[in-house]
Amino acid sequence: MMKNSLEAIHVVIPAYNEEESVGMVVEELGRLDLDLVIWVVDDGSRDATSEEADKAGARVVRHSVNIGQWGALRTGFMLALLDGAEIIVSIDADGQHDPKDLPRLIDAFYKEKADLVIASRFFYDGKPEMLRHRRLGIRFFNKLLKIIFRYELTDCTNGFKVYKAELIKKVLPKLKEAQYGALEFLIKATKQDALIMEIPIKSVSNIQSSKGRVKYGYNLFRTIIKSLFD
Amino acid sequence: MKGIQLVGIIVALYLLVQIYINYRRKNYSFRRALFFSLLWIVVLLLFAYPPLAELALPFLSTKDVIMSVLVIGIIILFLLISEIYQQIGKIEKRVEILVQNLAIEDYLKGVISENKDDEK
Repeated sequence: MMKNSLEAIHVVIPAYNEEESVGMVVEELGRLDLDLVIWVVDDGSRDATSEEADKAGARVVRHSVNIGQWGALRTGFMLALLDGAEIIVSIDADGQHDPKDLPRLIDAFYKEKADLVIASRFFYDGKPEMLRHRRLGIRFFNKLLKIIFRYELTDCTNGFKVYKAELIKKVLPKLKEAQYGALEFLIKATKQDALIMEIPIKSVSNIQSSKGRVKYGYNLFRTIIKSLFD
Repeated sequence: MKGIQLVGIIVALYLLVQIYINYRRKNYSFRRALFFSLLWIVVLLLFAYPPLAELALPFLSTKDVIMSVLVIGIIILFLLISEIYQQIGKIEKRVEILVQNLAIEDYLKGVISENKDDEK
């Protein structure tokens, strides 16, 4: 592992009503042989998400109301940056990503001197475990990004990513979208000539995720079109 | 003058006063105030003197005054919906920033008080 021991890796986990899985995700991350600072941003949950994350040993920040996954990620990013983070990881709280994949992502990040490493569920052998309409939707947005911004990705909506803090500092102030900023971030990062790479991972299906909904798809489409005119 | 005309004029005047108040309170920019003032002045004139709608007939490819008023009304309605949509977006963004700042402030306060307790 090419890890710089001076750099603690900050992991940001946005969580909304994830009391059943967030503790497990934090604990599994804690078992990794990495120097991690784990932030859980509870996005106004009505269950015991904060308590479970706290019990598992994460630093817990709580939103008073639900503002969406991207808003929670932003809060986590800001706190990690305030804490002097050099590398920031984002991972979902619902357990659809295996924390054991993180060392591979970090390894690639250091080896390739990347600005952003995206875990791709589509690089993996076989079909990714997710609902068919969601899989088709992601493929559609990948194609759209390729056509409009000439940037080829296989999993543009995946929340498991490793960011160079410098890239976040550069791109975050330029974002205009309130709730669907993850894709806008990606588009703005490509405009900054950031080195973006993908690493294959296997994901576990999450049927309850809002990411399969029509509204989510519509807003991603809107974000791409709006970014064209920025 | 028919009753409906009088109601229309009163509503348009009320909205014009609202725009003026919002502009004075700096809630509206000059451009925004100008745009909406012009919009409601047109509405006011149409209510005060309905035959004015005939001027729009050639542009709307219709010979019917009622139809032209209806089309103009629908256009105004769409404009207002788009305006409301934009304002909601702005408010959402403000709420998001507010919630984030509060969460960060709360977290930092907690850390400071923990540190103080440790020092004691």
